[in-house]
Amino acid sequence: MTTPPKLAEWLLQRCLPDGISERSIRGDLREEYASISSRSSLLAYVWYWMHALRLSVRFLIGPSTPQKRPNSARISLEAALRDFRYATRSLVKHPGFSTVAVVTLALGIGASTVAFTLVNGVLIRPLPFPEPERLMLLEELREDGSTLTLSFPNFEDWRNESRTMEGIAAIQFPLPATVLGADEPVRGTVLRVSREFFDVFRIRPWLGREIAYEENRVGGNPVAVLGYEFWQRSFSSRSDLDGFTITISGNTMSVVGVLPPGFKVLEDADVYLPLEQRPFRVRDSHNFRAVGRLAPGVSASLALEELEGIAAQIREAYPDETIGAGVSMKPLRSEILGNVNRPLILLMGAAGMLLIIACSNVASTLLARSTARNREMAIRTAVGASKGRLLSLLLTESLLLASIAGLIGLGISHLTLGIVQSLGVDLVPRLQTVSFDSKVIVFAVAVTLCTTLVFGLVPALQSSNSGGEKLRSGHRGDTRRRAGLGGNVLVASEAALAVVLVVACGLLVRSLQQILSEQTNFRAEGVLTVEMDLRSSAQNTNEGRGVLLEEIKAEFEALPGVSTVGYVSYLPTQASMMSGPVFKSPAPLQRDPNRPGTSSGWRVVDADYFAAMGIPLLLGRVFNAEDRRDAPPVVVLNDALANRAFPGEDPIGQLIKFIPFWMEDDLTVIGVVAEARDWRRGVGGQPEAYVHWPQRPGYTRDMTAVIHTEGSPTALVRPVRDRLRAVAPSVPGTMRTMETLVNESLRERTFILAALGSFAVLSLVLAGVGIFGVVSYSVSNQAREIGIKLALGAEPSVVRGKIFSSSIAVVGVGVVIGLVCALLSGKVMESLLFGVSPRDVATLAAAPAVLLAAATLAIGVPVFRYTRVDPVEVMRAE
Amino acid sequence: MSRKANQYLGEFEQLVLLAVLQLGTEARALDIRRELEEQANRPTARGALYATLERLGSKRLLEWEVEDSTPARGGLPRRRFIVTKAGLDALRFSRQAVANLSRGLDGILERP
Repeated sequence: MTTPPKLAEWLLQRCLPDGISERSIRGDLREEYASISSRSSLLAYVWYWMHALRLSVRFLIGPSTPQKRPNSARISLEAALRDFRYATRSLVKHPGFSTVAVVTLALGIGASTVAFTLVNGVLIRPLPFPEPERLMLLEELREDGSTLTLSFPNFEDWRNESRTMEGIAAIQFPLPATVLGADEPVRGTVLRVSREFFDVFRIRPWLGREIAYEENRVGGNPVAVLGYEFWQRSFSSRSDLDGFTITISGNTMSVVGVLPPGFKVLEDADVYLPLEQRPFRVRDSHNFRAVGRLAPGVSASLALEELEGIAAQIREAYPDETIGAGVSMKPLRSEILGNVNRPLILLMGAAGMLLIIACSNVASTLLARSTARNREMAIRTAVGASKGRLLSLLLTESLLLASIAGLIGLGISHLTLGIVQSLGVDLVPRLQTVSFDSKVIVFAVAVTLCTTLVFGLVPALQSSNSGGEKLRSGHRGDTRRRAGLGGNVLVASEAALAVVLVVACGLLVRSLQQILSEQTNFRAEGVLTVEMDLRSSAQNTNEGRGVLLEEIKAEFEALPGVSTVGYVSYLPTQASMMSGPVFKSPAPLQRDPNRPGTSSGWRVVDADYFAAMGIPLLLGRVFNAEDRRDAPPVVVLNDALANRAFPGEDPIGQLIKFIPFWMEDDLTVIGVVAEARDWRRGVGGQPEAYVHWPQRPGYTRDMTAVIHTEGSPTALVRPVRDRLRAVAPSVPGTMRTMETLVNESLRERTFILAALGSFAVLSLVLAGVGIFGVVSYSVSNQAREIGIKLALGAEPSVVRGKIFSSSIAVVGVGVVIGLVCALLSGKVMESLLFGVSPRDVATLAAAPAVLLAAATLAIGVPVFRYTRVDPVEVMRAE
Repeated sequence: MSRKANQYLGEFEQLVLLAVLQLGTEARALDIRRELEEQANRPTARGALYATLERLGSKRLLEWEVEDSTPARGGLPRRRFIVTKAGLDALRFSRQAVANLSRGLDGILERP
């Protein structure tokens, strides 16, 4: 059962009459709280606080109730209540000011609460495994200090020898697969795990059981455990596990369990399979990641020392097969959260700036009002109000404003979070499990209180300082000057913060522009892709798949509007799943640390792939029908690989040795194509080789057809599906346009852009409103002076120019400070930028221009208004 | 009549005592509040109700028995209220005072 807020309960315990009354009244409230929280926990939370406050006040100072507080508390509470009533009346009397202030603050508080909710959900909340701080990611270290995944025999030695680890589990990299067993074939991600997996993570299935130790060995029963979301989506939450089987790559296995919702270790996986049913004997095949759980009371350094000892023994025993030189151990938490910090820090920073702008905005308005209220304060002082009383009166007003804004802000953030989650942006891990909890509410309350102090204190101090002597009529001069100084500081700081936000947003806009215009060297428009798993075909042999690929291609080519059809193993937007070092022939016969080769990905394609995908040929030729199985093996490189492997040489005709095809003849380079690049990698960051599928028939199990059409690719979806069903009814095809795939890969950046963009626009508007408020007020205070000047014959344009230049100078100072801050904070932005430096001159020039334009408008309007009136009118009004 | 019974009850105090009598063995704070809202058509703030219950208790016009808790109350007790003899006397006194002062005013007080 959920429990009511502790602080509110504590307050009640202090304020209600002692004994059974106090306990039974709290019991009544709890009963109602429980029934409300079954509908909405947020509502219940707010409800409880409201009633706790009301009851506390009622019992402390209410008429003729049994009291437990001494009189002094009663007196100060009565005073506070009086202040509260007065503040309410004063805010109601100025609805315009109140609304603007509340909306401004609500936006600031709302934005920072959303950002905090994300940070809280992702960074502060512990991982969903018991005692996650004891989980360590284990890898091997190369001599140069870079990390290397584990080989299975090494893992086995670590697992068997280690005493400082309670358990070590090996995990293979997730692989896409077609899963049969649902109504129709579905694509899913398969993760093979060693037998300790469930114990190391201490995870118990949500339904059924985990994979047993005796099943996770050679000859064990074929079993599988499903991820909750996959089970729900593809198997309609089938709860009866009896006779529940699935088939992957022709192997049928029983589903024995379903993992809890949201369970995820390093990547999303849909199906968990036993890893150790196959033997892995090769010590220098590094394909596994390992996660270990420290034994109770053992420090990470002690465990590392022990593992390093074991690794040294392995090196001694198998010197030829060991390339690892040490052990890398880092907390799993940092691995999982490693990359999400930066966008979140950015969002949090932007939200914080927006909040400060909102605060300065309200502060400047309050400051302007405070000069207007000098008379009122002076009268209060004259009749005996102390400085403390005045301060408390004014701060109560600010607190009331901030509290209303805080409540609305909480609502705004609740809504925003819902929208962000429904967008399903994969911005942060576990986004869907992020929710409001007591920490978020405490944060919102704390922010509200802080904002009260930040925006309320300066104006309150200023107002409460107005002494009784100011009562003398005609006293004007210095109030304006003092408001002017405070106002100037606020205007400058608002301008500075707005510049920082606009620069950040501008840089992201420029990166996105850059990405969209960047030569990615492949065609995104007019391309439909069909991912196919040919293992499910009736003839799953090298020859059978070859024949089928030809048949499917002929069918697709015959469709109206189709210009070219090509095949590739993985699309440019997907990371290459296959990689290895490339050596210029002759390759070293033994592993040679001085000749590590050029690390490169490789893709299996057919002759038409480059034409279909629009990848330009730079040198030589692409594959043709002559490059058959029995012809000499050939390879096409992209320019990134060609430049690295053959710097300053002509690569055409060169012979290379490619580690995946170690045992075969050298490959002859026949052509160089442009680097078809994913935007996430910079130019030259994706060295790749292409091989011709008829020469590599063993690698055609997963192939994607790339169909280029002159018309709309979405119109092709239905006919393509029909043709595929006709030729290969058992082969599932996942169809997506290239445009969708590219957009998906851009989603994270677009989301941050949208968030920062809205913050930047809001900050501009708020800064504009703030500047307008301060300048209006200051000009209206100078109305008398302006009136006299105009009456004495001063040129209106000169008067205008003087006021205008003094105000814009203040904004200018803020802009300069903002630019310096933007330059200093460039480091944080760097990883999110593409093709744009954080010191991009165009952006750094445009942001101040935008802000100055907004400021010109905000200053110009009031200046014109007050200098266009008849001087006689002004004098008379004064 | 005792000294206590002579004290005149406030209107809300009378309503609360009457609600407790109406509810009989079911007179718990949440039920009393509901009874006041439904039967007397009187929206009641929790603070006002609890303060009145405490006051009537300290005047010994009401007393209570402590009942076992329920899971929803998180182990906190529940009070069932009972009108004391003094409470009944005070109610009668107040009612009599209203009756005395209303005498002969039927023509004015009855509905037109």
